[in-house]
Amino acid sequence: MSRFLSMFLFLATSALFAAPAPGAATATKSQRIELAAAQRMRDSLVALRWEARRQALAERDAWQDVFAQVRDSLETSREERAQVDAEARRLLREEAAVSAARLPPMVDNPTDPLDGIRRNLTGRLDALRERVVRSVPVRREERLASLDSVRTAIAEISAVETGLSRAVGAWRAEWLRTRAFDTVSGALPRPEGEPANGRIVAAGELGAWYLSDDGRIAAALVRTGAGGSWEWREDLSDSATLAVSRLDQPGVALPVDPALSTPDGPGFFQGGAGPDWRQRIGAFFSFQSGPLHVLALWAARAVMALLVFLGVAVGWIGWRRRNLISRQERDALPYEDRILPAMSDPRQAAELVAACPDTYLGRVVKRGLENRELSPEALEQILTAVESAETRKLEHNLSRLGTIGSNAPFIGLFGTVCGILDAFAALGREGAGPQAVMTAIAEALVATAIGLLVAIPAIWIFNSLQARVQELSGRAKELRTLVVAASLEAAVRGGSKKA
Amino acid sequence: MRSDALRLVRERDSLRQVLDRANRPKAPAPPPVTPAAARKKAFSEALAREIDNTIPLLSRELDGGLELRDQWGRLAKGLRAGTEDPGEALARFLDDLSERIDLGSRIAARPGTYTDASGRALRGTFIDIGGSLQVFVDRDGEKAALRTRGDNALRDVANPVLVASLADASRILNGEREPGWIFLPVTGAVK
Repeated sequence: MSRFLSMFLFLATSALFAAPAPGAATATKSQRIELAAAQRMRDSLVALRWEARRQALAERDAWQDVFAQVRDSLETSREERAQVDAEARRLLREEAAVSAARLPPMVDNPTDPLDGIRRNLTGRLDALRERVVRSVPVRREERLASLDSVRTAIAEISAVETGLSRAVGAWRAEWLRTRAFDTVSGALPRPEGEPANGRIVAAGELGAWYLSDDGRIAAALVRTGAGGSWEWREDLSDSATLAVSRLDQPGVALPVDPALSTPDGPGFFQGGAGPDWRQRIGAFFSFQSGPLHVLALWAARAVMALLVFLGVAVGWIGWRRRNLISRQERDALPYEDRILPAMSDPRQAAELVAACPDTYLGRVVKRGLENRELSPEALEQILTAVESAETRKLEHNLSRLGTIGSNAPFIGLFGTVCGILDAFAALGREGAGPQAVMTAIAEALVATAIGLLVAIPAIWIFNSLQARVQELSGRAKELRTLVVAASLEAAVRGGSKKA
Repeated sequence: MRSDALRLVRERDSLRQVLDRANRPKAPAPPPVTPAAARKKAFSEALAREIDNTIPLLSRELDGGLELRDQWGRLAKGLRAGTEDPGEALARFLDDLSERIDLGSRIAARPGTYTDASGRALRGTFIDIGGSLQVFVDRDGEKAALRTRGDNALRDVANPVLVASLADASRILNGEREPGWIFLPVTGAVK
């Protein structure tokens, strides 16, 4: 309207002022009057134009206000609608819970011999109904309706046998439902926000999840208390949202809130007050739950490792000692035949000293000849010291072999005891069968076997090497006695010559 | 004369047999079938039939329901033989069914030993989830095995993400972690 008016005014003024006034200077009175009238008209038209424009602006502002009001009204309506929907859903849930009160009462039939059974069955159906009311709210209304029809039939009809099949069928259906994976398509039971369509998936009584058709809305069902009420939660973590968004893919792992999955009180996952210090100490020293059985297990393993190490050590020490003693034993010089002449003849003594190998016996004889000028007592002392030092060298580490040999069985036994402790602790803790326990005990006995396996060769090597050292020591003593005797003889002979 | 004597002997024997039959103690007559007994018997028969129809469902349970199968079999037999009271039998049967339903919402853990595919014995935790999923996680949380309804035995889990999730569940069960969300392969339970 205002647009047409503006165009008309524009065309009119253009027509009036487009052509220049010819001969304005020579205009007559009538022309001046016409010009004045035209100017008035023009002013009037301009005024009209401005008025039209003002009206148009006012009209636009008015419409904008109307639009804003409508928009606000729509938003308010939408919010109210969401609230009403949420309230309706809540009422629906509550109604399902309380509708049991509206179920028909039992019709008594004292003449019926199965009336007691019928009454009992009706009571149990009521209990099953309570269970359904507390179950995962997927298809709950349908399940309740089906159950109510069975219950009504049994309560009203005196012949219980006619409803038995349906009643047992209801139990079987609930049983199978708790093991099944159910999918429902339709409006999502969103706790708040705009209504949306999608799919609801329930895995028995473990939980349920929904996903909108556009994939933007995902939620999981959690139990909000021991009373059996459930709540849809859309504030999922990113990983949980991602998992729910893959509902249609096989093998997907869905988020489950195990803390709230047990209907009867706190479950395994329930938090709560932690154990106090007495319980902690008790638990520490408990073989069932504490770390002691782990210590026993590790002790058994450590013992086996120690025994293996000792076995290696026995082999190493035995090999080294055997080589050393064999080297000493290879000295086969006829010392006994050459000592007596050498003690009185410096040349022969020098030859024998040069011939003495670097062995146990060689060193004893060499030191004896080198100190033959000393008195026999002093010579005996020196040779005794040399012999003692050489014997000590040969016996080095042999005592360790003996120690290992005598203690390895006990170490192995300790490992076995620790292993058996762990086996019996596992038996008590896990309820393992006899086969598992026997296996664990057999494993524990390996420690004793290893202990014996280490001890027997250790003792054998120790005794063998000890005997060879003693034999060498015996020969050294004989040579020492021979040297001292020769020295004594030389001293006696020298004394008689002087006399 | 002789023929008369023989006839008399036969008559005597015949009369003696009749007398014996008349004097023989008779078996008690079956009680008249009352409507109450007949109805109870019919109900017992119907309940036994329902029990028989339910027994096959046990075979899909994780534990096989062997014990329950025997119990229900005896119950049905007793109902048919008339040695079980139908009211008590119904109560026991429905109690067992309710227990099975409860199992569906229970998550239970117990320690145990599992032998993996390579023959190695692993110690860890068995978790029974909702009667439709059984999980094993070793102590270190590095190995896991899974069994769903219809599987004969546990099978090793190769997916490391799932192994980590199951290990989390085990830690929560053992009180080593705060309660929280865990990811379960619930679609694995679908058959």
